[in-house]
Amino acid sequence: MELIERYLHAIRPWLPLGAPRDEILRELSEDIRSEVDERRGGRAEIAETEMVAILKARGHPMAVAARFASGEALIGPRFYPIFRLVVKIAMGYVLLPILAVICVFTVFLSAHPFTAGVETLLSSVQTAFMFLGVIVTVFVALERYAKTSDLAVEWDPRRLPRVPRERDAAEKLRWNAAGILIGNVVLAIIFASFGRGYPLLIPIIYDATMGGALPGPETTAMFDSIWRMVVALALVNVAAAAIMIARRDLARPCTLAVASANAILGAIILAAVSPHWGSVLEAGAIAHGVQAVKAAGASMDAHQLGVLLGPALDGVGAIFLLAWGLGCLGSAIAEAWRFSRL
Amino acid sequence: MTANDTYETLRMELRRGSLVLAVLAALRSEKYGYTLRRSLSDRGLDIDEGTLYPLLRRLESQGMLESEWRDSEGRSKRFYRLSTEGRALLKQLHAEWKRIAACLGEIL
Repeated sequence: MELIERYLHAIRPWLPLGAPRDEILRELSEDIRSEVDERRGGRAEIAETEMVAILKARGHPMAVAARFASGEALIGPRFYPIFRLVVKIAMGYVLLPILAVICVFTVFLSAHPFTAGVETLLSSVQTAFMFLGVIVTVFVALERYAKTSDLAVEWDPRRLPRVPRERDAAEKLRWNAAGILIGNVVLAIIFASFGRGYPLLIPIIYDATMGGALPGPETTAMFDSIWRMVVALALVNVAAAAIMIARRDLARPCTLAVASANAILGAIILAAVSPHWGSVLEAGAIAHGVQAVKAAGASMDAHQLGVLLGPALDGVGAIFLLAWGLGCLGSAIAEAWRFSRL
Repeated sequence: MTANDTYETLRMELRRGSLVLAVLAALRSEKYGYTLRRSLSDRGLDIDEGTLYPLLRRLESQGMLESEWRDSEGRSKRFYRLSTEGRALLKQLHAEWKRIAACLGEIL
């Protein structure tokens, strides 16, 4: 019977959007079990090979799900599930994040942010439609001219993925939410403390800064331009994660909120660091700076320290922000993927 | 499109209309999904689950069928039966079917 569960689990993600998935799967489950009962006759169990034959006769999970799509369409049930997957990956996980980053970059870097923002948004919509048009055209051609689809190829129910246990899934969700919560609290504290200038209260940084260069004028400017937005979005993530831990039934909207907040976070951070790409190259100079500081020993004053280490620290700051921005975008994609599986 | 494709398309269209009548007629007595499918296929009308269950849901939402989940043989099963409106509709459709069959009998 485990094969039936795996079969139904494999059907679920391919069912049409808006279809009553639980109800369909419950009925399908009953239909399959009734057939199994009939085949079993007086025996206690049927052989695995018989079960495999029953499921194979019903068709590939994707094909079974596609039969629940209604109405005539340019792209029929044979190709619709694959079409949906391609659109989801191409538009949701590739194109939209790229366009979001481009939009934010344009707004941040332009002398006329509003006009530039509207223009970029409009051209992004145009690009998205063009992208979608190409995908639709390819699938319409496939629907029209392909003799068969991959759904007709050999498949084996025994190779379908196992169904995650309900308890494991809940546990995983809780750990993920806890990770989001802790990560974003740390993020908020770091950015808020830099924004409020608290790291400058640490004696060594304070002395050096008073000398004129640490933690680096560019790094300070980068943090200063974005810290309020970063803290606000981090707090959105903290709230969403806390709700997810307390109310599992709200996991879907909360995951969507985290994915959106992370996408915006990533775009903002990368936009802020983009004018300072050159600083990244300076990071390698930190080893020389530290050696020079050691060589000079106690005779070095704060100003000299700042001159030696300032540019390198700008580079380190830029790398840190670059990594964090990319991490946020990666996390946004991961959360969007998780959202689609919930 | 080949002649075979055209035949297949027209055959499916012809079948689609008849399926509603067949399902309504089969549900004069209460059945659950699998037994309904079997009773139709035993009479030569194969219908896959992806066609039957959405059709049953549609007929139920139109008030032609009633359904309930009930325990039977140790499992919960969804039983379907004709509603009062469904019986009246079946009567009308049956009369129309007989009329079309008579006309076609003469034409063919």
